Amino acid sequence: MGRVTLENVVKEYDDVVAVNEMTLDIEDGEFVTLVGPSGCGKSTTLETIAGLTKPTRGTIEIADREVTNLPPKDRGIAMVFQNIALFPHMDVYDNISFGLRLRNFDTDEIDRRVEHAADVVQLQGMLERMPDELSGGQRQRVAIARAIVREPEAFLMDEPLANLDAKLRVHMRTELQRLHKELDTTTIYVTHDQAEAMTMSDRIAVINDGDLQQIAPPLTCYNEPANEFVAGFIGSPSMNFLEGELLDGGVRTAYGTVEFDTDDVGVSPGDAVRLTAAGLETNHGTLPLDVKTLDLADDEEIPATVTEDGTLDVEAADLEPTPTAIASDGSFDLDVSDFVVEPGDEVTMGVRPENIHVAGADHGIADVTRSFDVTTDVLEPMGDQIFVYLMFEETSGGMSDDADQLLMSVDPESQVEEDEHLDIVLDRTNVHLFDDDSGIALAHGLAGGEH
Amino acid sequence: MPTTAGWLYLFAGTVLFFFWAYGIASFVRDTRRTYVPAIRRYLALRRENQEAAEEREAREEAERQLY
Repeated sequence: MGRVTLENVVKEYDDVVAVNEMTLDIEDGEFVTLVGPSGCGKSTTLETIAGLTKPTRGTIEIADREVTNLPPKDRGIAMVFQNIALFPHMDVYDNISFGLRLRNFDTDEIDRRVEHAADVVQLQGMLERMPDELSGGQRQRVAIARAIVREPEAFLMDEPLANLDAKLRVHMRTELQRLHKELDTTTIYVTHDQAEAMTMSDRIAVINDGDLQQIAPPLTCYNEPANEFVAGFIGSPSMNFLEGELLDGGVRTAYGTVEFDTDDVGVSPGDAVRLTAAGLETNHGTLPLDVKTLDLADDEEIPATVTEDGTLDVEAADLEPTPTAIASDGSFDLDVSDFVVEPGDEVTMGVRPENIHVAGADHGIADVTRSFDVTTDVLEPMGDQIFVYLMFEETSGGMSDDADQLLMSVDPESQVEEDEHLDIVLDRTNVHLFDDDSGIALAHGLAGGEH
Repeated sequence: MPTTAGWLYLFAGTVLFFFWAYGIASFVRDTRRTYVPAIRRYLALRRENQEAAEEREAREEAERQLY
């Protein structure tokens, strides 16, 4: 079983924390992508799994065996690197079989595995070629075949497509998906390209500054981002953000007010909630509270009430066995104050470009906000859609920062011109609200209030 | 009373002594300020390079274990 588990893994370099309390549970056969900006700690995390870097603290298990202090060769894993690194003096056969020869496999077994791997990555007939006679894609396939012949518990891939040109990258992306479908081996893939992460993964682990921000299926990260960072990082072009102030019945921004039922945002003192493996369940959705210390089973839930000071009052009598996070006085060591909202709080509203529409146009969205007055700025025709930069009326005509503009995606048939006055509306079911200080998600989709 | 040649001899001797002493002092100063630090820098750099090469080799060896 190629299950990979990281438990509170920390990697510190002098005073820099590269990986901070990373806890991951990757199921056998799962394809998980670690994604984040450069320097976020994703490669370091992968290297701790590979054994190339020793973690400062924490434990790593592969196939239910602790490997934290084992050398790479004893971990039962194979890795594909960004720089391919084929031996230039060896032909394709020798490069692919290198790991097996190192481990003294017999010749027949090596032949069988190399032929199978060459078949999987479509390198038949090229086994006698030298690396300098291969194209970039073929060289990368040799590196992948070299990993396949090991028949490892898990594949680790550190930006294996980063050095390929755009067209080949897309082709190899599909090849890797096909390979995973055929082999069904646990794969941990590192990339900074969120498009790669979205298209290939069963789950995406979004990392920033060494901290795991969210681990969830790609569409969950896209539609229900745990916080403002994930919302901005996942999706291309990225989500628009507007700062505002929470009112009793909506959000006031510098450019207009969006009305909705604020009872459906975050939590309030006295609210009955449930703690589940997914987070903090409320009567209007799941909030991304980190509950990993509770180690809850998928079907387990703990009823609780939000107190005035932003903690949880837990009905501990119902719990068997009692989770370690519950203190002796029955209070939880889980701070939910970031989710407690009240009128006057600063919030950030997020909306994706495809969820902005021209008012009155036939967009087929029933639940839209009041309209905003904007002027179109620059148009970017992409073929299948047009990206339209919109300037709010107050800032039109001059240079503006990102906070003063929105990006809208429209159908290429749309009759939108540059410097045109428009009224736009937002699809309320796809407007997100984030706490201004912590960036944590308070609501995905707004309901109620005036339209 | 020394003769003119004697005075000349004494003067030349003093000048030569000054430059001899100046040379010694300069050499000691240069040794302290330039040559010793340069040698130390060279040794430190060589040590760093050796350590970096060892680290690189260990890393490559570890990476080869993952092929």
